Amino acid sequence: MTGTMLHATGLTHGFGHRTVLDDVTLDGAAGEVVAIIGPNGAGKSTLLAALAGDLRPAAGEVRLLGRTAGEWGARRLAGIRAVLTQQWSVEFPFTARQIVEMGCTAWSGRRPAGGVGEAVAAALAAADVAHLADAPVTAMSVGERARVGLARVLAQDARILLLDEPTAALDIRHQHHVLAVARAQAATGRLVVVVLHDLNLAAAYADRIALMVAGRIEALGDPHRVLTADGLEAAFRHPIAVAHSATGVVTVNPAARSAAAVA
Amino acid sequence: MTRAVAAGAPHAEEVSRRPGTLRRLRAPGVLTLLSVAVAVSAVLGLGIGAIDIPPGHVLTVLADRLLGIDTGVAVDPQHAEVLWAIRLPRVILAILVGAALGIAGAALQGIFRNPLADPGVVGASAGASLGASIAIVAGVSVLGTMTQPVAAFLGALAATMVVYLMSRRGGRTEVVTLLLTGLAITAVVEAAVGLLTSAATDQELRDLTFWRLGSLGGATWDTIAMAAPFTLMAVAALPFAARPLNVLALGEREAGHLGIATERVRAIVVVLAALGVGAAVAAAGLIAFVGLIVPHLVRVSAGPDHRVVLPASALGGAVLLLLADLISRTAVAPVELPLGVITGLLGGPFFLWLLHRTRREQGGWA
Repeated sequence: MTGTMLHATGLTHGFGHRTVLDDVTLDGAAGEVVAIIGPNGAGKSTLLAALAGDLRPAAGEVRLLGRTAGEWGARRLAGIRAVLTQQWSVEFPFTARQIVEMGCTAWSGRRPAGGVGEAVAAALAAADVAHLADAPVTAMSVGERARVGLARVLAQDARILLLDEPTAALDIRHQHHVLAVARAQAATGRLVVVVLHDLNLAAAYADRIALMVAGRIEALGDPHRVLTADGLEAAFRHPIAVAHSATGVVTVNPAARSAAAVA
Repeated sequence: MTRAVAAGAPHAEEVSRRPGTLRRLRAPGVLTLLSVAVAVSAVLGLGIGAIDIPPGHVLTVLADRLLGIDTGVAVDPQHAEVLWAIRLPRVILAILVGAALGIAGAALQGIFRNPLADPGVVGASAGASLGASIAIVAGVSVLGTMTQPVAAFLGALAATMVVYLMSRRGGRTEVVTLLLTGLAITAVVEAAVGLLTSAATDQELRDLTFWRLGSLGGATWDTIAMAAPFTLMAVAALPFAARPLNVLALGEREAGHLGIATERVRAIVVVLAALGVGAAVAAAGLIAFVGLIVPHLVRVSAGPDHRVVLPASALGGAVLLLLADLISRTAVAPVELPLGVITGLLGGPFFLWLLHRTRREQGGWA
């Protein structure tokens, strides 16, 4: 765990007249899971694209392990950061195994200790899709395909993982499984930045949460500090109740309008 | 800090749908099978025609003329002459053109990320025919015998780029836009070729008609000298793009995340495909559907890995064109059917079946 791996400062970007990122500053350290939450259109995916190096913001810069995407170059960047996009699709009937093998193409020259086959098998197992290894992804359900995507990202063996809503299409068990995988990745000294819609998942698995509203980070810190009824109500414009269990877990629920003030 | 207690990997109990898991032939098996098919079709194409020459005699002449081996078998000198001057150029051209169309189709489908992106569909063939037609009618010959293939290449490149740029958004090719753009480009190009016909002389008219129907009838050793460099370049170089094309199947952004220089791969593949299609059209006119059917059949039998799909599509395209040309010469002999008619008759129904099957299995491409 050697400090800051990701350093984004003053990110500002707009599409047309709409500002999607407004002076966003965010750090990420080794061993950390950072969740980005916020209402639809708050700029979460745009922020992730900027962190990934896909989007060059109008102002500000992103440094991964001390260098910008331009300084790394696409190939070497692929060796240090992996990205799971929200909607990826394959037009040809590649099998899950073939898709995950593609994750290994990022290894510019370096080979995993146990060989590609072993790395692929491990990634398939970790994402709970080993039983689908030889099935074509074009015949899979959205949730199965999402987990194959996760396996591909794991096979890339990068130190920084950027995941855009990896749980969106998953059942509750796999939602928790995917975030447990993210935690396990962080435990090995990686940094995981994950966009989440489910506030309870963010509460349960993230070390820090960034609450985005209208392109700005409104709150940033540990779940207890960010997940407050007042802050979430203002952000989501919906009555919200926040509860703290005896074991320290924060849970967030929609509340009746009258109850909102009490919570 | 709160950390949810996560059990190990949830036990996999859901059952995945796996429709149509076809028995996949091993890649080497497919490539070997197709190589043998090329050889057999070539010998058939050399032997069958107005004069039938037995396969043994065909091989004897080839051994004699190509390798200088005297097998001691006596072959009618007239047969030998037919074989050497008429049939062999035609068979070699069928192989070159079929291989170029097949591999260009597979490569374009990889770049467009769409199994429908045949050189005919994306306007490459039409663009090539316009380029070649302009060269014929304008009487341009600055590059000697290379003028027509170069003009066809430029036309194919221009048309493909226009369709490519217009039918993509956010790294994805929209199927409807792709088909409609290809349609529009083809319509404009055909109109332009029509305009050229009104300005053409009788001889030029005959040449232009030839582009539209497709034929290997004009094959001579000169035609081969013209088409071979470009088609061979495409066939030899495109397989090197196989791995990037595989990764590109994940999407352009995703391929970029994996370190693939998508812009460069795209530019190289489109130029190589246009070279192949341009030379094929310059030498044999418009031959529909080869680039669509062949890669599709290869994917069905050997899977979608471009390391197999690209070379196998080249071999399969050669086989298809050898057999189609054989049919076109012999079906209603002595009249020769245009090759485009044969591939159209095969390809049209195949295309309909492809649409039907895709709709049934995944609800279509839209």
